[in-house]
Amino acid sequence: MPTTYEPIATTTLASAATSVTFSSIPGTYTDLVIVCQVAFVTAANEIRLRFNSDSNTNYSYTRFKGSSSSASSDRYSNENHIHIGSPGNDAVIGNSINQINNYSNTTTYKTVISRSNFINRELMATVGTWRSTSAITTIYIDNSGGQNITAGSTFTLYGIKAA
Amino acid sequence: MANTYTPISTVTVGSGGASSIDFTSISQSYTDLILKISARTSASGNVLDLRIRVGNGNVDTGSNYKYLELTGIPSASIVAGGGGTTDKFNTIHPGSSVTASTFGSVEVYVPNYASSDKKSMSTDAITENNSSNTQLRLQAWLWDSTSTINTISIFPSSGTFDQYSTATLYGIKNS
Repeated sequence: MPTTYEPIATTTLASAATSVTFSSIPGTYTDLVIVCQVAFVTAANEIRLRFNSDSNTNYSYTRFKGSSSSASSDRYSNENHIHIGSPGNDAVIGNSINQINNYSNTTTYKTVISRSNFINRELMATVGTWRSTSAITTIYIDNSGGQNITAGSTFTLYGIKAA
Repeated sequence: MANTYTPISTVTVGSGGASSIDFTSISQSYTDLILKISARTSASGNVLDLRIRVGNGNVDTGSNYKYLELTGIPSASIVAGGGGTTDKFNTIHPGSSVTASTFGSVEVYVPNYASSDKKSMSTDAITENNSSNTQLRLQAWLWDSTSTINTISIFPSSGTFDQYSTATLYGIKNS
């Protein structure tokens, strides 16, 4: 049986940090999955994705989200990131699971499908696009407030291979 | 390199039905678990609760479950819910009132199930049957325990699982 769901890299924060980077991602897979388990040290914030050091306004995303009392949806165009979750600074480390399909092709823009689950804040489903035909070789995960991500937070990148 | 999306166990309900589907003595050698469920219950109704409990040794029947959810209902807005605690986790599956042979699908993702952190999970569930008696439900849930998970039980809120209901537990390794 071919190997189809392979761990590429895992980062577990030994101490608090503001960002995590996966670099030199091989182009040998079909899709990528990033599993993030995250909390913040001092205050709730947004975690977000960028690719290949592109911090220009080449990203857009649409999301719907819910807390215990309200549901909403919205979209953002010409952003410099894709929002993939809203961790809190409580004792619960929540998660954000992200699929990046056909990440290494050099013909199409790249899409992200994200599900995040932060029980004391909100759950969210997001679809995002990076308007670039470049193959993704670097994934940068940070937060909008420059806050520290809690030590012990983990980020794992998996590669999915088609037949 | 290791293949990490590993089937741990599959249970398929036989002709007599079953009151629950249970996974016990789950290996602690993976990083995350994925549970995929295809199920339908004998109880009357269209969209009924599909309940899940987890535990270490025995399933936890205490009020140690918390959830948030977004439910999509035909001809209605998306509805948010949850926030309190309960003694089980509720997702959805179809009852006997829907079209024959129609089963619901549920995927449960359980990150870091063998850690000493509180367990934060997610569930996506649908009951689709070519009518308006359907739902789509996305959920975040928490088992408020630092124990590792080695037992999972799935059971309908009433009735029994129909024949051909099935659940497969997969293990994901990050190295």
